[in-house]
Amino acid sequence: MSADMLDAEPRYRFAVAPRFSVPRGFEGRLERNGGVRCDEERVQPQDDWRPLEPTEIAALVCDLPGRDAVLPPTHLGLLQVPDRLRAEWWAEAERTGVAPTGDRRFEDIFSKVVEFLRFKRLPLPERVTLRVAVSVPGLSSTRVGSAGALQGLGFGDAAQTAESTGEQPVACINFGDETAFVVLLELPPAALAHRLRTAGEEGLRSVAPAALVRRYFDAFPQQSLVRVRLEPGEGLWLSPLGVVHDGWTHGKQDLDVMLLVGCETRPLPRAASSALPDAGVPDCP
Amino acid sequence: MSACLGPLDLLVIQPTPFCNLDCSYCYLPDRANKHRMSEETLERTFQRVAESDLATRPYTVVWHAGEPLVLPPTFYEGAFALAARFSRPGVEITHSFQTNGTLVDADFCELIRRHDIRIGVSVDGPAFLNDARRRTRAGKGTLVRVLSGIELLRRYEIPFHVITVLTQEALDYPDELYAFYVEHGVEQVGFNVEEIEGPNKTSSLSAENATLRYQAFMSRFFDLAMGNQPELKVREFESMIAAVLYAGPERGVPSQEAAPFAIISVDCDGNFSTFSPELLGLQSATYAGFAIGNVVQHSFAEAAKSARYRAMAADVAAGVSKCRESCVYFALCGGGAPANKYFENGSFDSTETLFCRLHRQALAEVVLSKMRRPETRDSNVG
Repeated sequence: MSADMLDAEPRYRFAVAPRFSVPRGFEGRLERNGGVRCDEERVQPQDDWRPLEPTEIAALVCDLPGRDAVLPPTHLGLLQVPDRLRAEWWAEAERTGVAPTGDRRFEDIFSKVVEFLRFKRLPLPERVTLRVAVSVPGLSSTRVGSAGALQGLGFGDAAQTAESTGEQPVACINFGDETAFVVLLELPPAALAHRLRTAGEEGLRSVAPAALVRRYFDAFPQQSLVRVRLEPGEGLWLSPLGVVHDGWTHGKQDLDVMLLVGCETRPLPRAASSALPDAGVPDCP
Repeated sequence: MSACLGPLDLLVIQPTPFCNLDCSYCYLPDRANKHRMSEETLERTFQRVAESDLATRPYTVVWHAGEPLVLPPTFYEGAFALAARFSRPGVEITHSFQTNGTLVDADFCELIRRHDIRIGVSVDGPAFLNDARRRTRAGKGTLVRVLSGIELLRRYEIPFHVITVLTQEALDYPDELYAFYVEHGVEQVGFNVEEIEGPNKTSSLSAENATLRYQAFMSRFFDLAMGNQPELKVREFESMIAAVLYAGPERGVPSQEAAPFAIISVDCDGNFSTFSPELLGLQSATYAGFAIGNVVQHSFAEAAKSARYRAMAADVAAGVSKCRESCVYFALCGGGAPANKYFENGSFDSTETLFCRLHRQALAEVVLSKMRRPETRDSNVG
């Protein structure tokens, strides 16, 4: 695939989400690798991360204009939640040992997180789900399927099919006390389908999201990924269009604790070719 | 002196116009002037208060309008002694510094403790907010120095409150401000709005959507301040709740700034004014200045007979009267702030200002809505 073609393709860009203050910005935050490792079960990133060159950062990161800007679906937004919310969650987690489903105290904390994100006018859907994913150190994947197995890189709910509803994260927030990482592909679903079609692949209209991702990486194993470093309390808004992503816990000492804010997705994506927009992702102003 | 003047609540003394900072929204026109108040002027100030009928109940002396801590503690030792010498029996005087916090040191902490001085520190929150407007003359941010002053106050166990100026930018950051206060041991905060006064000809809060955003900010901050332990005391909420509870069909809260001689401001040369403290030292085409006398030459009673004072007082009273007739929030406000009316509307004899729309009307709506019903949390969380 030529460089010209890549430049013409829609791709996500990073920005500090409007009305958030993240002191460090993108300095030293983004890394890129040389591709993926595919085995029968999952697709995982290669471990050859390198810092981005300034020109690469300039191409990936932009400023959104003005305090009234809305984070467009073409952008991945860096955000930060107040420490008190993390502290409240930890106090409760240490008290109860776990985060049981339906526990009012945890739900109250989650409600406060949602209130905060809504005040910041992030485009949260009306109904959201929140859950905390806890992972041990040393993993190249933290996305877990319904059976508890690690799924590797993917959009969201690994069990989702073209006919079923599923859950898709719209934000992940580092609730741990240590640096955490999110690995992602900065291409929207439409771009994956477009590239596969260009490469001669057929039968994409009815393929499920997980299968689309698998086919894409089988076809393009040298597709580089971006690794985003998140300090405690920092998070990343993932586009509701769908972002191929996963966690990464190599190099960590403590448990990786990630708050995942999700929304329910409709039956998806008629192969990312029709259900997902494939009009060009506009550039930052 | 006429019975309708005073009683004195606030004596604002400008020990020096000089300030070591150069904040972009400051209304003080002469803040590079290093002149300081003489002992004679100080003495005459307290003497004038003592000989008037205005000091009939406890009042506060605020050392402000210029950075008070640029003068040494010895200056204040002398000043406090003078104040005590001229104090009336049974009329307690409380001293208060409104400081930018950058010059707090061990000597000042000792002075503050020795005289039980109230301290207000001006700080606008985290660096990205504070340092955008509160800067040194070289254009550098001031937060690091302010925080070191606050840290020293805490080490000396000196209670203090914080004044934060809300600009348009700050309205998006209630959580960040709340976290800042908690992190730095702030237990009481007052929010000022960026005002159009004197050299500050525009306010970022004049923007079209500022009222709604201010309301959203205050609503969110109310929940944060009142909904977490320990509660953070917010001057605006406390005073508005008190006003709501006090006000009735037959009565409302008085406006301190609109009450003749409830506030007296004295500059470092002895010139004095009443009504809004910001007026002193600012230019006025209508009245040829706002100063109504000089403590060395005039008593407050003499000043109250001056043509300038009478013209100002008549216009202020007419403005309050218009507010009473036209504003549904009058009972919660009492007639607004004369300085804002003058600099925004061109006359004391006027009504609504930006300050009214934000700090009175929008604030009242927030507080009333919180008092009417308990807040319900978002339940759309799975």
